[in-house]
Amino acid sequence: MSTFEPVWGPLIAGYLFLAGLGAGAFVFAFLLQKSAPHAFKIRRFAHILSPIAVVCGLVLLLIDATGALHNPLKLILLFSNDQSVMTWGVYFLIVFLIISVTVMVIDLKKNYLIPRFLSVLGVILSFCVALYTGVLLGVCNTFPLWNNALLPPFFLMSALSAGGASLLLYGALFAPEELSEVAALKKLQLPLAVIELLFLAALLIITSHNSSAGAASIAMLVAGTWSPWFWIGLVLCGLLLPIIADARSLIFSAKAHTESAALRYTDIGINVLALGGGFLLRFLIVMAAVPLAIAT
Amino acid sequence: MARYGMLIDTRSCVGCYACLIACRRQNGLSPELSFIRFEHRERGSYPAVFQEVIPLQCMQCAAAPCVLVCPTEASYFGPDGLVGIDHGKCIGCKYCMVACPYQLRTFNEELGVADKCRFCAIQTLVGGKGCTCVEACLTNARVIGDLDDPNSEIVSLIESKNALPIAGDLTQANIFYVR
Amino acid sequence: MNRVNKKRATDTTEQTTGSAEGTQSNPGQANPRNTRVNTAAIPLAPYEVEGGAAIPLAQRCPEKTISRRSFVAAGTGAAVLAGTGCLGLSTLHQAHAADKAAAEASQLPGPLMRHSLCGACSNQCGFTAYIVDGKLTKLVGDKANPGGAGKLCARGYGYATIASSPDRLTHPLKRNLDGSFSQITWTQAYSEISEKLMSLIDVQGAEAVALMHSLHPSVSFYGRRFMAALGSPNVYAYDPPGNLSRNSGFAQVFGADTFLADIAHARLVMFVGGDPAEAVLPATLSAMQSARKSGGRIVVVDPRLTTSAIFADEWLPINPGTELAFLLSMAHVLVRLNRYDQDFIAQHTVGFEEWAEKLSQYTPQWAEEITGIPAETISRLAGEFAEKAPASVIDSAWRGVYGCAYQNSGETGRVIALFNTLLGNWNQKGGALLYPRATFGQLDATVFPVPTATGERVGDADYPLVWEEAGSSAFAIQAAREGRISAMLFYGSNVVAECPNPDYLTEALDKLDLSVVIDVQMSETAQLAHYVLPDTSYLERLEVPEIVPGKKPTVTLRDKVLDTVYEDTRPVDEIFSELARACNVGAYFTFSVEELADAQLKTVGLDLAALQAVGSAQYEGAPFAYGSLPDIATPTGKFQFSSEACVQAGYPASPEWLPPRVMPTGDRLRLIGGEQALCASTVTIDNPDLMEVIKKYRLTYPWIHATVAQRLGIKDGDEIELTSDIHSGRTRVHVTQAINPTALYLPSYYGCSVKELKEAYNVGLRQMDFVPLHLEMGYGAAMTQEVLVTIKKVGA
Repeated sequence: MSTFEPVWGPLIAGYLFLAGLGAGAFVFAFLLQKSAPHAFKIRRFAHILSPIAVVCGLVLLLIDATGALHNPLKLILLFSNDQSVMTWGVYFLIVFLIISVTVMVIDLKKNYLIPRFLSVLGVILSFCVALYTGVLLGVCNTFPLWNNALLPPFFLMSALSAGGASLLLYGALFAPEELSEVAALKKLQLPLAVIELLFLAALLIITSHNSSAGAASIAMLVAGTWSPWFWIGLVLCGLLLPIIADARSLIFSAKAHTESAALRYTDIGINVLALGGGFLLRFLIVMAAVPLAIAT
Repeated sequence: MARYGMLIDTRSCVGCYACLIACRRQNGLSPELSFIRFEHRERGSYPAVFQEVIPLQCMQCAAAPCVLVCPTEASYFGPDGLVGIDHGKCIGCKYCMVACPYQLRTFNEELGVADKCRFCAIQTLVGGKGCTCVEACLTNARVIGDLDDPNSEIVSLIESKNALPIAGDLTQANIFYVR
Repeated sequence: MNRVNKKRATDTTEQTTGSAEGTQSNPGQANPRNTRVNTAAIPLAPYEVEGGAAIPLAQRCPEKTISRRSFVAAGTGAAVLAGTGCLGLSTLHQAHAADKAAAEASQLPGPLMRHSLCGACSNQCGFTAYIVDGKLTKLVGDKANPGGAGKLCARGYGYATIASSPDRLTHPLKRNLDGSFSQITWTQAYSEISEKLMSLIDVQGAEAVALMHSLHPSVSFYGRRFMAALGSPNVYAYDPPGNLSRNSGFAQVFGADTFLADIAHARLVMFVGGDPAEAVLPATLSAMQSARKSGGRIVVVDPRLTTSAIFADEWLPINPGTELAFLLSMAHVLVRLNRYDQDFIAQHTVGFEEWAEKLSQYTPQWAEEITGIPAETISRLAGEFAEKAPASVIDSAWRGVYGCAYQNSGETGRVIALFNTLLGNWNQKGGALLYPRATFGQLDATVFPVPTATGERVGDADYPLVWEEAGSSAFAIQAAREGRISAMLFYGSNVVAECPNPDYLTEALDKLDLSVVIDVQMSETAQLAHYVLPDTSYLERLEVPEIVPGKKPTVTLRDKVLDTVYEDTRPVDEIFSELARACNVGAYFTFSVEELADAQLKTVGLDLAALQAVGSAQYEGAPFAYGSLPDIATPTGKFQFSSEACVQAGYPASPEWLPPRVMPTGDRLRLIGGEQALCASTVTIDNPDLMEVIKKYRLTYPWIHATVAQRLGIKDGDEIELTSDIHSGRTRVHVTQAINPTALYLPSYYGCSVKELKEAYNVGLRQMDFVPLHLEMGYGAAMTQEVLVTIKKVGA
């Protein structure tokens, strides 16, 4: 008899999600600089969102880390162990925050010319942050669901997708006039979601063949405790519906989106779903991991 | 410098939980804290059935993943082959708990920090027989000693009983099991 | 000594006399009572936040000084810092010196060390308590104590928090008409109880008053003395349904309640039920390991695979209730093949011929049908017993499957004793040992006047075979229902939760004109009492000493380890003395417990201070030697294959096959119970430490066999409904291969229905709820396993 209760829960899933979201938003802001130079509002939102999402994520991490709440000064120690993935993550997050806050301040001062080196550096760190969220879990070698090379790129794709979805959601709600400008961004969402779906399928298949613990994890997802969340929440709402909607919207012109209220509401709904799917992905991966049995 | 380790003979373990409760009492732990976890195995079929109880606690690994992942160096390799947690440094992020391949760390809610078996190090120092769990074991299924001392009881027992770490050389664990 | 000889006699010759910490056990030399120890010699728990914080942490862990100080400055607080920062041993050697210096500098007192006896079950293992600032910080088993042999079990460590438990009784209580309780003063309690007692005795005579008491030393003296002073013979020794059948059956064969199997030296030992790892008997467990080391074989006969069967070479999963058939056929084989000790039988026994003749019908083939154990196994084992005799023995099995389980349990006890007799193993090395009786000498009657009660205890005429030192507790309750007893005092005897059919017992107790319960916590029985008096916990009182027979007898002592935690609680000696004074029989209680203990000890050449210094001490009593038998206290003075008393009680003179009252058929399974390492009675269940483990490892789950589960579509962990003729309840279930398919095992003492016991309330099912109350003919035991149950999956 061995009953395993996950050590980490929704708070850490939220942290992983928000860090990825912030990174994804930053990357898209960079892309919009070239492809949609006039989508000021959306870009500014992206610049504001990236540091804020990351900070919110860190707050969740701290709420989970009750020892730090007892004594916040302990947090200085987070930089101590250069072998710890979490320490790397803290470095990535700090540098990312410095850059993204700088960029945000520049943007808020109505200065639309973000220094190029800053943007590029920020994009590189965005990738680091997004990948880190997968590596953090990946180094835990007793959990087959985590301990594989698929997870970091999977989380990266999901981070980009969530970043994009958040910008599109903002656009649909508050800056519909800019939506036609960011059509390129919208077109990226479809391949991202499809790649995510493929990653998910690969993760399921490979992990279920990895070990009995891996199979148990997958069973929990597809047929066990978490199966409703997995099939309806993640696969259907978080991935398939956005894919269908994105594919459909390719048929309509960007202009139609600006003008048709129905399409606008669909956009809002789909992006909310995509964001929910992004969180659910982290949550399910965190909760369904079963450790290798230590003694058989 | 010594390298402390333990031998647990599951063929003598009756699964009475005395080690666990004694550990709590002597270390002043709250009822929510367990440094020892038990795995139960049933093999064979009626009437040739065999029940095995495997007590597990921090393996004091020489290649401890908890130490590797700890961002604040609260988990550290102490002297004498022991793995320690400095509660003054621990921020309670639980990364070590997740990383421990045996799931043998537990969360001390009172202090908001990770916690685990301490090998009752101080008792050994002052001439006690060693860990509380070793003293408490009703069937003397546990032996503690210096793995670097070729003349120690534990080394000869590990050899004669062919004791092995629970998961092979996964983490270079310093608890050896007879099964 | 007018006292139940309940302690299992224990082999002590191989144990050194001395406490766990190496204190010399020299009874003649008076040591100071409270051995104060230098702090330096005391293992400080690494995390000792409260006690240890007095010593500067920086000095404990010199290497870590800087980082620690910085954190103190940062306001982390000492509690957080008292961590494993200082784990390394070499570091600690320095820290040790620092501790010592700090302790000397601040003149910190070291922990107080006191010896006492555990109160978690009736085995009463000895231990040394370490006390710092009035708090119990550590317990270490005393090696000199025969039963504990230097160990304590999980219950012993866990139950030690009882003294400060928030769920304790703290004041005398009086029950109101609506069933609630009001707090009263001791004065009021004594005067009202004594008034009622006296008026009942005036009208109905002292025979209408009874005492039921658990097996602790002081109550066995004070409670019995109180009853005798009142003139009542009705004293019932209460052990949660345990060994009554066995003890009574043994007494018919050799005139004493038990023997000790010389397990450590046996070449073959068989346990028929009884698990020394669950009804924890540390000395027996240790003996099992010794036996194995020296090549002895161990066979376990039990419907369930016991935990100590890990040391066994063979497990025979017998059909529950048929042990008698198995044993009769083993005896059959010995007799048929003439492989019994003919000299011993000729010299020391009566009635062999009659039994031998009867045995011819009990062939192994016959027994296979009934017991499920293959005939060839029975023949082989019987042959092996004969071959290894006299170093082969069937154990006496503390609370074994025949303790008080079936209508054939008393007779099973007889046959076990008789099988050992066939082997001629009495007082042979590796055989069955009968130690010389060991008691304290006569006390000075001018200081300790002896009251005498005349008349016969209620129940003894109805159940003439009952072990006289115990009496039938179950019958006492029936007598209460019938009005033969109208006032009952209970000392720590939770009969309502631990005997069959709590509903019936509740009714019976309701009939009493006066019921008084003295206990540490509220209980199912106390809830029904008119008065509830708060006892001190076992850690807060000195009790009278006790003798454990052995190769040399050992005196043990429960001493006061902690100061009284709840001011308004009182120790048992005080309660009975004060109650006696209120009943005008105070003349028998003019001494203190210290004076009494000292006087008792002086009769065996010891004194109180000397015993307090060591906890357990051997003395020169009647000598034991292998090969010599003590006096056999049967009517014939011999081992009895046939018993006149049994004939009078309606049994055959020599034991025959007697089937259990009910037998499992199809899906009707026999409900069997048992103790667990974490739960031996209702005494220890309300404990946060133990309950956490019990819940985590699902120890309340009943066991069913995998084939039964499969047939009924039940999977491990499913919720089932368990139904007997009188009760039904729901629980989750454990599916296993390790149980006889006709049995359902339910741990006996869960299912607490007392709301005040917050940890235990409503956890698991209570075995006794399912069992109807019938008493075993002649023996008067409660037959706790004469019940069949059906199960079904909830929702199916």
